[in-house]
Amino acid sequence: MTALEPNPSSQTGNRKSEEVVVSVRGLTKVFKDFWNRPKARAVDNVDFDVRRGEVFGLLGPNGSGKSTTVKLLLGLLNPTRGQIEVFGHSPRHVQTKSRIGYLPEESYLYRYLNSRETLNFFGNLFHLGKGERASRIEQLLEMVGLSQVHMRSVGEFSKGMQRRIGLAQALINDPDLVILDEPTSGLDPIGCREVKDLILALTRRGKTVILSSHLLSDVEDVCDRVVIYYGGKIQAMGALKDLLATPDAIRITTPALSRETMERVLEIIRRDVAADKVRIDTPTQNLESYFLDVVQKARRAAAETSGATSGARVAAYLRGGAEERPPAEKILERLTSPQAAQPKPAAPVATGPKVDDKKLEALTKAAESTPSAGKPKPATEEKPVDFSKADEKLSSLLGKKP
Amino acid sequence: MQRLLAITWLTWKAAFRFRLFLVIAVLLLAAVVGLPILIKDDGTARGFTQILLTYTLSVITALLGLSTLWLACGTLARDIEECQIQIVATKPIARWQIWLGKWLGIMSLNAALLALSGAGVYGLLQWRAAKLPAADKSFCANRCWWRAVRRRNPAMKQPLKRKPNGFWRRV
Repeated sequence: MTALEPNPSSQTGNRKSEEVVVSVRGLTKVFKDFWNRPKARAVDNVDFDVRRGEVFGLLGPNGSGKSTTVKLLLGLLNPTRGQIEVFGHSPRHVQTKSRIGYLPEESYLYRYLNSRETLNFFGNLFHLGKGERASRIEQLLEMVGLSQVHMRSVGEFSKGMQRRIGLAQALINDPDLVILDEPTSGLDPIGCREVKDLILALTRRGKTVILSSHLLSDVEDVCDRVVIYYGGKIQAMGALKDLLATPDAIRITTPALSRETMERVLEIIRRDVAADKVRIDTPTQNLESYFLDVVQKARRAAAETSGATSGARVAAYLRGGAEERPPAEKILERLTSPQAAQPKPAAPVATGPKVDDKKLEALTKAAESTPSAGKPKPATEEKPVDFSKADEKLSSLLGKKP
Repeated sequence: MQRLLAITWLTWKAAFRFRLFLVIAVLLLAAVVGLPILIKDDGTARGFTQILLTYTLSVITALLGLSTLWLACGTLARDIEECQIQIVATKPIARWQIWLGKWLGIMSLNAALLALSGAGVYGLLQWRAAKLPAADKSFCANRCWWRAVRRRNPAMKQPLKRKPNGFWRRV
């Protein structure tokens, strides 16, 4: 997770429900040759449920069965064995499809239509009224940053621009279930970030997202639960937080400390832990955050581009009333603020959900029981009056101690 | 209906984008205009009308038949080959609606091309008839063009006479 965004699992957690949107039981798909002999077992006895409001990741190497599973979920392929239910119906149920948005792994769009015509065509397939359609098209084009090139045919677009218009068509119906197959492939880092922000915005409104990808960083940033495929079988499944947790280690991040303080802290730690197992390093921002920073600075310097521009904001109808301002806007605000110009090692401290309360409590007790460690100095002292009162209370408390 | 019309519109758009409509229209007009020039008639109104209608209508039928086959094969095959059907099939539209929409698109294209070539044949016939001798003009007006109409409508059995402005009127 980057320093710029809070933990997505904490954002989406309160929107999740137990309502099962997709139910898969014993799903098997065997591709056969001309003589009906089994050729490849793409998916082998797979079971999983996807609940409303969660981001569910399908992970696996190439050819592991992710895309086949997605096609089975969409009714594009018939399963050899097993059962699939999407919103309680078969995936081939026509009315159920009006609640689904799908972005395929390649941009399978009509090359002779321009982006506005493309969205208009798919809006018609969803039986949207003229006014509603026009309004959504405007918002989506603005969101994916293609409003300035809306008259160019899709065949002339770069791969990234085609992905953007593909994403827009997947969202034209304000779907309850969004199935994204490699959504960030071909996108620049800004586009990747916008897609991830969009996924988070959708889940905040209780939408369900199924994300198929082999880009682990994308999955790690947005997914609540994942299944990992290999050879058509599920090798691992569960909440990302549980799968990635290392329960036998903790990490404490603080503002830069003086050498004396560091020595004191290390002295305390070394009483319980071997010296070679303690590691101290300086947090760095990741390459994605740094890249976004550089590009935003260049953009402020008024560089013009004939390609896709950065999407302004998540379309209003997709945001609903779930948030006051879109995440993209928040990111821009953070990037343009003077503090964001340099790496902020203190930023991870601000990510509240990362603090393990039990561990913190245990550490606090340990600090209280060792008077030699002294009282840690607060990072910022804005109100000294409050601290003097606290000192009085502390001295009275210490005075009562034997 | 909105979904059917969307697929129909898409078929029209593809036909224009791949210049199929333009190519067929040019071929039809070339056949309608060129054939009567190339083929000699016997000089009588009957012979001229017969030659013109027989050959041009045959060519129009052949061209429209071929274009229908071309479009019917190409429009769905291209969607499958280039995988666009994978997106369309995930939208709330039944398979038969996709098929019917394509069929309506091809039929309406054919109708448009037929109307275009029919108008061309009629215009050419009128233009060539203006150059015929007076007796042949009368024959054309009373025996050929309005014959079928008058047979169904007795009020139109009055003979026609061509006005100086080129239009025909009943006398």
